[in-house]
Amino acid sequence: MMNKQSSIEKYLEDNGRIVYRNAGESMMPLLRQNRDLIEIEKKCPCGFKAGDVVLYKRNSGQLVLHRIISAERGSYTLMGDNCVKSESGVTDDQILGVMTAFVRDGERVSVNDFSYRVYTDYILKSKALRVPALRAVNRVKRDLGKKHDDTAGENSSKATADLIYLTSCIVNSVDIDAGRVREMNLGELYRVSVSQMMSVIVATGLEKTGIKTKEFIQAKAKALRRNALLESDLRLICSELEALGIWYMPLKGAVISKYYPEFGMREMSDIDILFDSEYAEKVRDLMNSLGFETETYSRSNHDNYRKPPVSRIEMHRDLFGPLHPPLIREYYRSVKSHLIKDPDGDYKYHLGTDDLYIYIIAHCFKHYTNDGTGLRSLLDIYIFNKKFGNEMNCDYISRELSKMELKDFEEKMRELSFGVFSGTGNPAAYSEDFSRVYGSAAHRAVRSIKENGGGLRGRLAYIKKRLFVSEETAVLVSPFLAGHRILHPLLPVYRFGKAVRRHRTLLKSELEAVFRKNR
Amino acid sequence: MKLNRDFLTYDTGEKSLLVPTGKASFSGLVQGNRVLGIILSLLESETTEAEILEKMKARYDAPEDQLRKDIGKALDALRGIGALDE
Repeated sequence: MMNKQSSIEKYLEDNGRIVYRNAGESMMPLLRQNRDLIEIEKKCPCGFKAGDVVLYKRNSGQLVLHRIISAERGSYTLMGDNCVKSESGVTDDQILGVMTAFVRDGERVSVNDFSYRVYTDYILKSKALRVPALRAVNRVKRDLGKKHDDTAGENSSKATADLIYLTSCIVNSVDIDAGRVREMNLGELYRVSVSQMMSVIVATGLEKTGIKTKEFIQAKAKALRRNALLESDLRLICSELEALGIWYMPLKGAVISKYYPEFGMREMSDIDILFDSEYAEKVRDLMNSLGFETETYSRSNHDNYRKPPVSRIEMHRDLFGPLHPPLIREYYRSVKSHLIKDPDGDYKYHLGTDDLYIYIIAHCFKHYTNDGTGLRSLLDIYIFNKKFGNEMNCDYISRELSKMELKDFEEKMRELSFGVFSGTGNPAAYSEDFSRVYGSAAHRAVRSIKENGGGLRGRLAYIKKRLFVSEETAVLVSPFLAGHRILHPLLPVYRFGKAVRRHRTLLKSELEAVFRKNR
Repeated sequence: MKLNRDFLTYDTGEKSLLVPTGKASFSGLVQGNRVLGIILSLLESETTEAEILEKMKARYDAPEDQLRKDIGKALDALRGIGALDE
């Protein structure tokens, strides 16, 4: 009995022409698998040229339909429109026929049609750009090959509940139930703790019941080391700013960490310092002289510096930038009016308790409306309220937050923080909104798709928004491409390529969220 | 002898940490109690084992042999990770 391939070959030989349904994906987007029909005519003796789609037989006997991308004296190089590898050295003898037309959704398209010739021209001329992009997409698709596992979701929820339990016990100085700890899935707890940047506090909780695992010991040591190095750099930079007479104010983790029970429990990934933006160049020179490499400069409201092994410093010219909620940006436009002179330095400033809390909320909101926010932010709010709740001026805070339309948000976050961490509320109030420290790209995708009506419409709107950015964002993505109008079409490709190169894990979770069914 | 400049010390209030910077070949973390913290603080300037012993004797009411042993152990550990310049 003949197989399908040999039937095609024989039929073509006997009849000079064949029409059959396309089987593979290698010629997408032109030919869809199992949907479009292909018309092949037996080869003519005049030879073939670049652009022709031909049916040829490999040495293995396999029949393949690919496009000729180069032809030289009877030797051809072929490649599928959806492929990244070409095949060279194919000879006239191997070619059985050439595609003369295809049928798509009932409509016949001849290879002589103008639209097809334009498409062919594009495929041949865009190869240098198209193939690397395709390679990147294929890599991402391979990574997405894992099946969604409901059990993994359950384990993660329990581990998150365990993390909340241990954290709540530590921050409230409550004894930990060793029996409950024995039931914990330590592997999953470790994974969740690291993703939330709370491994120190969780490790400390486990140690109180005599449990020490290699992963937690190392994660805790790593976090403590990072915090110590960052704080050392903070002291160094602050003393240099003092020497230069530039006003400055440490922000975020550098300030909040001292309210946590022990050193290192408030893990930090970087140090943030607000400074007098008039001296941005001088500060850049200072940072370079201290061994910090400039990562970005004058691209957003903060300039970024880094020094091995772990130090990342964000020097803030402003607290909020052009991409952040306008009301918040406006509120903090003249930030200096909110600052109080600090006794620890001639040029050092800090925020009063009320204003510090307002800033914590505004900063949390900034992330919440972008990628979402995580347990660490919620814990910051709980710890701050626990320490200062009775002395804060609620009327003032309420009034100031209302100016930024954050009053309801603050109330929600405060209630949630107590519900989760006080030990008296319901930690199940914790929702997918807090999947990671600063939420996740997946969260942003899910929220945006829903806001745009869900389904295919929501997905397309989201993809369009991510790839085709505003001019302000374009400047941050690539000042070079943004500065040359003719290069603007390359911005989406550049953004996608950059994401694949630098943020594959995030991109993977984002794509999973976008393409998950039933959204 | 003195603490190698590729290491920095940090007092958390409850523990003393010795942290390698990026230039040190050792990439772990040393944690210890207040006694280690005192030894590390003394090593921030040029000093000798004998000087450290004298200062520890002035601070702690412990047998000299025990102090000598503890100091020796700490210095050996620091030498082992390349944290001492001698």
